[in-house]
Amino acid sequence: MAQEASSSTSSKTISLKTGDGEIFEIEASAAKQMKTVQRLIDDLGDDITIPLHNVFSKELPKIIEYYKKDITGEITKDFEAEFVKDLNDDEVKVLFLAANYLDANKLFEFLSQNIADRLESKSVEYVRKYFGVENDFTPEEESKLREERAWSFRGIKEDE
Amino acid sequence: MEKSVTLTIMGKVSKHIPDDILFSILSKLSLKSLNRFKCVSKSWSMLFKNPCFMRIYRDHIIHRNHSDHDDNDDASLILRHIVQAPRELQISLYLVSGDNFENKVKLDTPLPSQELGQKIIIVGIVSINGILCLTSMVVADRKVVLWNPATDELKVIPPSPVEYITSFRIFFLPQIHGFGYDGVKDDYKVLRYVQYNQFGISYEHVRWNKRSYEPSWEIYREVTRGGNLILKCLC
Repeated sequence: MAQEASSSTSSKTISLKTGDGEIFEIEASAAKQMKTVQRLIDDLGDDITIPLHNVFSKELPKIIEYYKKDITGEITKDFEAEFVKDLNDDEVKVLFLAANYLDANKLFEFLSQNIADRLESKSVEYVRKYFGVENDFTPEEESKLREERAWSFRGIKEDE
Repeated sequence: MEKSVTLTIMGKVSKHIPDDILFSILSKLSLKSLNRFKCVSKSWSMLFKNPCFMRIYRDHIIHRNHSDHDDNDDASLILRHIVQAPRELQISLYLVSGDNFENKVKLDTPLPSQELGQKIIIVGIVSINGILCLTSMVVADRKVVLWNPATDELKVIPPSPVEYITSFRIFFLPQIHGFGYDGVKDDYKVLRYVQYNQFGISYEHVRWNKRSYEPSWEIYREVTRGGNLILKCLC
């Protein structure tokens, strides 16, 4: 019976259901790369539709696209550049959080690097908004800090 | 208007990214951006004092530098710019990188003159993974330290046990040959020699384990007039 299972996993597909009720198919070998999915498969079996409450139909196809390329070993720098080219900063962040939820390490690392690259040219205000961080400095404290590290602001466009 | 665009998933607004995954992003930023983002909030200004973040940051630098780079990226050159102003010397430090040294990042943190005085030598004029090896020109001091300008952490390397062994020791400026990173042992190495008698020179290997901060010594080779001896001493 074990042999039966192993010969069928190579072509087996797993059904994933997003938080907004849509169903997507993914190959078992790609599912292995998403540790959260794999854990659910181990618990629930691979015949059941795996529920993913925190991932939605906007993100999941993109993630599946990434891992489809990954299992054929075709992920190149060009592919990765193309993958994020049309995504804005917020879309990348949502994808990043989904990769975190799914425990999809390769995608997670790639997207965290991409976000870091995007933030290199950004202002302090932008970063606050992006991460939803409150500014708890007084105006005096903040201007002192900015003065002390004026060199790190060179070439950065301030917002508003 | 921006709020409704940011992360509204099916009506749920979730802006908060947990620290550990936030660190995954921040650890990949340049020193310039990290310094700028210290102005984001009080907790962000303490990033470099956060051991959890520093661990991730160091690991990232080391893996980035030892992964697929052909060129020797883990060492950055230090540019010391000295301006003779009336009555004082203005010294600025820059980390330079790039093929033509076009990337220049100024190091904010002043050199640790409380520990080493004013006449500081940067060993090898190099920064390994952001860390500098410094010593003093003043012989009486004989101190060697490892210093991280990003976090202002300083570790004093203790005097070598060899210096106390023999009465033929010649009082000597510590000759530091080099400072580097051993990717195999995942440790920093400071190479120095101490002349302890007229005929012998020994090369010492200091390992500074960045995790436990316990420097240990390894005497690499001892040459005496009579022949070669290999001494290994781990303290």
